[in-house]
Amino acid sequence: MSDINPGLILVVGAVLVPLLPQTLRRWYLLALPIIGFVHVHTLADGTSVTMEALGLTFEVLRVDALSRVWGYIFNIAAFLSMLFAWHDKDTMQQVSAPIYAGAAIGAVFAGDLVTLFVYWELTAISSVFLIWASRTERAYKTGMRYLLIQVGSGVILLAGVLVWYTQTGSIDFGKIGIGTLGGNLILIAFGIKCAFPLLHNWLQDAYPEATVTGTVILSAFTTKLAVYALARGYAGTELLIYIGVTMTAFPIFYAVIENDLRRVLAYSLNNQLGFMVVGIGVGTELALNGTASHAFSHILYKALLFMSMGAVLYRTGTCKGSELGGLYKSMPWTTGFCIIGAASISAFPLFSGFVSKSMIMTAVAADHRWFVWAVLLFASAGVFHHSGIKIPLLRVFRP
Amino acid sequence: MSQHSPKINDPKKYWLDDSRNVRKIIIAIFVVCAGLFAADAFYHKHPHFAAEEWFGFYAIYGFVMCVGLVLAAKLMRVFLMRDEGYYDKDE
Repeated sequence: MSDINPGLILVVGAVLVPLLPQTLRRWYLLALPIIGFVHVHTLADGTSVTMEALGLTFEVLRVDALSRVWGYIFNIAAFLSMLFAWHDKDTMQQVSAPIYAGAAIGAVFAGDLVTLFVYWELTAISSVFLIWASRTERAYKTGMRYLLIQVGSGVILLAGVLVWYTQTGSIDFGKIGIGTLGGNLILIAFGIKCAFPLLHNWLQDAYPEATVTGTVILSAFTTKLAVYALARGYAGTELLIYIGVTMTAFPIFYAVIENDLRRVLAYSLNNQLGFMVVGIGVGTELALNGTASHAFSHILYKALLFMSMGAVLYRTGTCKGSELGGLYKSMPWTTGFCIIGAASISAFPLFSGFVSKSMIMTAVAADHRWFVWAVLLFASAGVFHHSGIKIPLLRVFRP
Repeated sequence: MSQHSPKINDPKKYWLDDSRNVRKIIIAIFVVCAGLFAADAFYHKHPHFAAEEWFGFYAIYGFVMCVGLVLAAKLMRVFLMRDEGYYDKDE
């Protein structure tokens, strides 16, 4: 078993889901990410499994500290999402969700760019079903737009890999960097999935249209896979600092005027990704550790926030701020969890976001970038404003 | 609203339903904020930038930025905001 990519446990496991009775499915879906987690844990750093085909060597499994962090958190996120979807009997989602999670995990353990591409595309194709599972005309159209952009990212990645291969003669997925056509194309492909400014709108368009449980799952994988890929290929690329700092600032303004609370969370997701991209751009040890930690904690608190808004949507049939209020009376538990998520994303002391965001802020300050630091500080205040105040206090407590 | 609609007309009186209690919370928050602001003078700092040494820098910066954000968003509403069904219209 030690030579199997951990992502395959969820991908192959998902195929058996339709054959199982509903009562068994729930337990089975919870068991898959547990097995995946244990498998990641047993893989030794430095493990490498290669395959020869078409005259090329494909590294279908590569384990190191970076891939391990993402392997752990993706399996945890898959487990929590399945738990949240415990009530759900929709076969379409029960199959597509583990394939999607597994594809993201598979990509993280891919040692070469072609294997990465295969998993990259699989995340796109499997995740769109979580949007279509809403089964509305609106969700269908949104899903088509989402798919176009996601597959577009994959096609650009493939083009980039081909050019990169002809330029360097290697398909190894290591440090890439900008400046060559291949490297630039691959950066654009990663940038689309990471929701770089002007490449971002699929995120706010699609995530709020997915099902109650689908949005929780979507929020964890696609964008964080892109963060991983950037950390692997573009650490220390100065350009990413400016892209990231723009990402932290501009979505906040939109979050403030947005009424659909799941869309507000999608904007704040975009803003949090900015912190990670800045960390990758700075590229020092503290900055990269901060990025990995922030991705880890962000997946947890963002999923929690999407879960609490999903519960509101499930219960009331709407997620529009203007139509909600007083929910602390009928949904006290949800309110409590929402406040915990809000405290964490706002980097309140003793919560996870405080630790991880501070690492990135300190790394930026230690690099003497006062302007970037000031914008990140502004963005942190802005996050507190919309995620910390707008979501829990105004909408839930308002009488 | 769907069939899951929460108990909108719940007759039970909650602690937060009383406006005097809401006032108590707001006052408590003011007191905590004032206390934290004052506390800024009483601990040793490890600044990276000179601004961090100014008294109350983080509190003032956060406050100014939040107010600026809301005002800017208000302005953006004028030319960016569309009604919620804007993208639902058939082409």
